[in-house]
Amino acid sequence: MTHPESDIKTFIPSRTALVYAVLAGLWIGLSDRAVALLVDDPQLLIQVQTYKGWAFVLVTAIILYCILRQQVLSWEKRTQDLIDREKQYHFLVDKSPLPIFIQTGGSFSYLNSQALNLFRASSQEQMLGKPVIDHVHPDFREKVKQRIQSLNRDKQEVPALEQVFTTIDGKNVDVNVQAVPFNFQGQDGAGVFVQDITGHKKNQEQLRAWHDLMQYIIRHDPSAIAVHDRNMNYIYVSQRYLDDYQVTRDVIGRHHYEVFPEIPDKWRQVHARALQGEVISSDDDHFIRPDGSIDYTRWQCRPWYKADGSIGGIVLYTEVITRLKQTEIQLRELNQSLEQKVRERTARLEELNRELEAFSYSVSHDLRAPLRSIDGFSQALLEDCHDQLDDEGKDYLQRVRSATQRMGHLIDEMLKLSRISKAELKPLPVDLSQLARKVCTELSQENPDHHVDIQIQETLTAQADPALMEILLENLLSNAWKFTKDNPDAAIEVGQKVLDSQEVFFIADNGAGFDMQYAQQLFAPFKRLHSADKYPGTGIGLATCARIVKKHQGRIWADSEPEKGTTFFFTLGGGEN
Amino acid sequence: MQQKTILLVEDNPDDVLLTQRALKKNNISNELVVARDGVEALDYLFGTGAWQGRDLSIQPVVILLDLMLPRLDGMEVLRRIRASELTSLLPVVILTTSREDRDRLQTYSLGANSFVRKPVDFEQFIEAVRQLGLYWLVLNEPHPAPKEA
Repeated sequence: MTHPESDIKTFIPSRTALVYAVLAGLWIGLSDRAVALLVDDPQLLIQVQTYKGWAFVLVTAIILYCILRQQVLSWEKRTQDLIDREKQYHFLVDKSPLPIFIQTGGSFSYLNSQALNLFRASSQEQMLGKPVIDHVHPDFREKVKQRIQSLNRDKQEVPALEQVFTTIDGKNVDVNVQAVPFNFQGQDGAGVFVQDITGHKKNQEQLRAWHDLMQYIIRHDPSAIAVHDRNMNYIYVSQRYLDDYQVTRDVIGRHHYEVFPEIPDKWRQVHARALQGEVISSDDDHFIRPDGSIDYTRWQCRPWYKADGSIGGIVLYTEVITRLKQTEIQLRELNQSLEQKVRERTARLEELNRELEAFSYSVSHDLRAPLRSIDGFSQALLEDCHDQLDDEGKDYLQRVRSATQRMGHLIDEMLKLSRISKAELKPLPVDLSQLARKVCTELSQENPDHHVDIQIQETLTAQADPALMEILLENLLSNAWKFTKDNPDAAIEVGQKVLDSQEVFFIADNGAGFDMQYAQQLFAPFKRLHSADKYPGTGIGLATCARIVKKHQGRIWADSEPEKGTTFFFTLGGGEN
Repeated sequence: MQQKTILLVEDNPDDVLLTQRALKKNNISNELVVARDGVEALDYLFGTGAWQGRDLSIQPVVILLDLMLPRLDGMEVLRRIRASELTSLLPVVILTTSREDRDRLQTYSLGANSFVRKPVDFEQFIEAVRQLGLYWLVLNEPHPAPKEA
């Protein structure tokens, strides 16, 4: 209630009554005297006096009526206004999106619809008169009791409090509560304004969960990661980071440079640049530890951004690659020593080769000279001392000569074999048919008594070394010639066929053949399958063939049967190498 | 008529003997001068050492040169022969045991006229000497004498 109104309330009725009493008293006194002066007749005077009294009552009744009517009308209006206003306030409070309730004496006296919703009540009746404290979570009851007390008894406002309400069906609701002392319907109590913060709480919890998850992920990341805020304080860090940089204390919340006071300027600058938005990285860096040892590292430093797009800090991805680096260095050293070893071995091999060459040179030269003397002087003996020698002596000398010559031949063949191994391959297109014909012609001329039927397939070509091909065919064909010498219908075939989807050359004869159980020895030097008496030879020819074919990345093998003949097969791999 | 001398450069006495025998067998009766090493060969050709004062207008019709020689080897002897105006045109036949490619290549590049390998079989050797004699002493026309300035 305002002051002017209260003034009017006490002032107007009392003054009005006073004024009325004075004016009515004066009127009664003065009018009676005036009437007495004007009217002498007592009878008339009484009559006039009566009329005057009636007139007075009438006037005052009219005045009273007017005043009272006005008063009543104004009251009526005021009451209506009040009712309207109360309805409006009630509407506002009831429709408030915030839960509001009033407690008096610690019990619910009023709840707006949101408050009813909050407590999951369908009507006021379910709540009214119930102690508020029944709907406060036990954890907060003591606190809330105190607050109610200060509100109701001490009429003191209480600060906002986050607490938990319990609904009528026993569910907990996180709320933020503000209350002011309030007298409601004559009773002391409080208006209570509630904010449902369940969603907020949930968000907070979600955020917390994300944060924990992020922390978990980063902590257990196998690489070294550190996340800093704008001020270079640690927010997240991986265990690997702590291990790599030998940090034993917890660093979260601490400043990077406080953790690593010795951090070099170049890295401080990198951080500053990253905080300006740059992404910087290095694949090969190093740093010196406090103990003076050097560690190598690979790192990337990039800014991270907040929701509003501003830089929130930096992320450091690092990897200590000292071990890798050491391995690399070791590997390089190993390589170098390996190369050195290869060089040494190559030099040694070259030296051995030179020695071998010198050896074969001396074999060809020095070993042959005495042979020549033996042969020459045996011949001289046979000629000059012909008469002094009997047949036996002459036969012995002949044997000396033929042995000497065989040895000379052997030496020649050995040298040829070693030359083939040493020879550098010069592959060219070779017409093997033509080459075979040429060799056969020579063999026919050398052995005019031995007739052989020769079949040479046309268009036998190969990419091979021509000189080596000639030696190969010479050896194989002369073998065929030699081993068919006892066959009056000797036949030799040179051709090509496909065996196991591979083009294979072959030289087939119908000669003496051999037992396949000895085939293994066929291509070994000095191994012979026949006696030298019957089929003379050095045992080097096929070894030479095998070397030639091997040099061409080819294969050579034989198929034979005693008294039926032999077929030699060979492939040529191209001979590029 | 100028004497058709043959110079045999050979350190192996057996080979000398056998060569002499082979020449005789083939009825080649030319004078055979034997040098036992490279130095002796050059002494003969240039009239130095033991051959001091030799008439240098008489030069061998053919030189049979072994490669493996004491002191100065056949290759070097050949080089010196070809390097001197006096001997540069003389026919040189390499008569050796070796048949190494590199020896053949090197001697031919140095200007050898022939390369003959001594066979082990003495009959083949006689045949080789016969053919050499026939070729160099009979068939082959020697270079004209250098004109006197």
